[in-house]
Amino acid sequence: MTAGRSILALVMVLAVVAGCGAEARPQPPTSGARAALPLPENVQDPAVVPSAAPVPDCVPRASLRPSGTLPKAGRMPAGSTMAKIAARGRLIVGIDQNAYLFGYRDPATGELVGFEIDIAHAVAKAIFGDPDKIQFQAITTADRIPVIQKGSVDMVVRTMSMTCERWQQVSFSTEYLTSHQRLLVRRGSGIREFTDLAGRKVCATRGSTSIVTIAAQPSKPVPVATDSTLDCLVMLQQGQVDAVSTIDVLLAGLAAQDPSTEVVGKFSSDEPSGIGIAKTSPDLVRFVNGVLDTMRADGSWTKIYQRWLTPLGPAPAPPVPVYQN
Amino acid sequence: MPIVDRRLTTPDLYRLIAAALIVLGLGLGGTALATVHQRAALTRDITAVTGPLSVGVQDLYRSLSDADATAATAFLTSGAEPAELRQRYLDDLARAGAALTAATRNADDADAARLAVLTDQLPVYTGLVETARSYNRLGVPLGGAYLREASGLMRHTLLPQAQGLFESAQGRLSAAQRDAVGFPWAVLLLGLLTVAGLVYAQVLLARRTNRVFNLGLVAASLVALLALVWSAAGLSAAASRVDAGRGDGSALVSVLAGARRAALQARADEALTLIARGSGAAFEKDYRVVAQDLAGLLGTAADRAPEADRAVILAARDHAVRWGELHDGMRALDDKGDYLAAVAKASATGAAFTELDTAMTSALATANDRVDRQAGHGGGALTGLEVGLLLLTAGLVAAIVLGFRPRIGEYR
Repeated sequence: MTAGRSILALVMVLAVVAGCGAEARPQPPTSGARAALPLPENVQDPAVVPSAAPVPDCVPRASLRPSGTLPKAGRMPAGSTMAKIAARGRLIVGIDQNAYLFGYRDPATGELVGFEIDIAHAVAKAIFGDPDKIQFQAITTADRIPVIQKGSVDMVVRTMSMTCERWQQVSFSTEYLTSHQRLLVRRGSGIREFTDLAGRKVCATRGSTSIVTIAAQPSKPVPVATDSTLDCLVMLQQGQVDAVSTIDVLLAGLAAQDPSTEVVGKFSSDEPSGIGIAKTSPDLVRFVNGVLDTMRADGSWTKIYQRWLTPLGPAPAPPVPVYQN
Repeated sequence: MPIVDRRLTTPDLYRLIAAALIVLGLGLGGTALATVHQRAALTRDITAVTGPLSVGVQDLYRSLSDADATAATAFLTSGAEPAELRQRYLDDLARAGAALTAATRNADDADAARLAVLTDQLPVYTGLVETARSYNRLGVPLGGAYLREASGLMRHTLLPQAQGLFESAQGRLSAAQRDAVGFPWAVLLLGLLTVAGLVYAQVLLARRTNRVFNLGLVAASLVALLALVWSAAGLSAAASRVDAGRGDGSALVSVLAGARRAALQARADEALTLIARGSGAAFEKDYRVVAQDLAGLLGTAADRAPEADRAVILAARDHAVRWGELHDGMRALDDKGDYLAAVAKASATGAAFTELDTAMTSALATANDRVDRQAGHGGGALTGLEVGLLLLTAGLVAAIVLGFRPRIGEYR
């Protein structure tokens, strides 16, 4: 029976060989791992800078003169834009919910608060007699003009610089805040002026005048664009940009959130902020200018400035209104 | 092979036939054994590796997505972050970590690359969320910016990798299932050949020896038949089990996992729409799309599910419908300007989502369990077959030898 036994042995060997399927896998190397830095959403690096179209000369601060005395709250003139807003029951205002001290969500209450939010409430109070008849719509810098033109908001109160170019597309109220473009840098970075930023990254929001100013600097910094100025601070903290450049009042709001940053540099531009309103509603522009005049005169402008903007220093005199005629 | 000589002596002819039958018998035994061995390994792989891997990466996706939605919901809550949301977020992270560890054990190269992204970026994600929490406590909006960055990282980097892992795991599972249900043609062919050869040998011997039966060859034929029938029965029983696990199990799992993914995304969209406060139209549009996907997938799942599973899937669909109604109510409030009331409604929609999530988790667990159980039954059908085939092959060869030896001996 040797044949039978050797066959049996063969079968056994086959069975054992078939059982050996598992192979050892080499350990992957671990030394090459590199962290990837996260980025805020919608960052444009380098930013696309809008080409400067020829702009007619104008006085950027000059708005429409209020017509006579302000109508009483709750009694808007028939057929006016204000009457339509009153009929709707609420004023719709485009604001920033990420600008500390200007328009931001208070994490403790969930409410929107800030200097510009108070200005918007003052307009609502003038129309309805109730400052809370208001609906806020958070918008990005780049959205400001489109939402006014589409009519999805009645007005935009969002540190919108009054420029001749924008006057072509929308109307502005009189100036409610004066500011200048400057720089926010990390303390100890040694950066003081745009001349220190040659070839380095400087952040501002997409669609802002700040991006254009950055790109126009002779030292040729690289503009980086985000949806919100706050995202610029995130990038500065993460070391992805060397400076943030926008109006000094917003920069002060950023510096107040991170004491390891500071506002530096001379004024790079003059940036008057006005309330943006559709060109088709001159009556609303005149009405809002009347409200702003009242606020300048009765001290409420100074009161809300002191409430929110003391980190900028003592309250200055309110900006003097300029009118087209 | 030399051409068979016309003057081949009878004992040499017997030896040749015996040798040929032994080769056929060994071929049958070896092939059947190899097939059974491979099928048993595949069913073990389904219950021990690919099945659990698929379940693990389903958990990974759910945990990561839920962590993102929970962090967003906690941000929406004003004042101190509710303890239960914090706990839910931390639990999600713990589960994601456990799922990552488990997935690493059985990763192929493509999965290892996905896992590398996840293990690199998950700590970065949690770091961003903690930074957001700290700034929130300071009462400054910078926390919101960090949360948006974290959520972007989750939705654009981490979740797609987790989804890739799930698809790869489902691919491996269905490949294992496909391989485990193929028809064993080689076994059948060799079995029939062996039996035919044995019959031919017996006819030949009967003619030459005038003995009607050769006990050895009769026994060999019975053994060969037994081996053939047993292998065929065992293999096809195993195959039908595994196939049932595929149809009622993993196919359903794919649909349900898709539904859960849609639900999680809809919940994140809902929170992000509120956080965007008026500029969340894109999130709301995405919500509409994924909510429709969710309804469609739950409908498909209800159609495909075995009777026993249908109730819980239909309950999930009811929860989804109720969530949709609550969501519409919340949107109506926000759209007419009552933002804070809309935010207050978010806890009701969150509760509806949680019920939906629980129902889907239970449906998924049943389906996943079925994949595992059916593969286990399939493996059970092969129990003893390997040892049996070894013995049968040995018996077959021995019977052939015993059948021919006395006939060859007569010529000595």
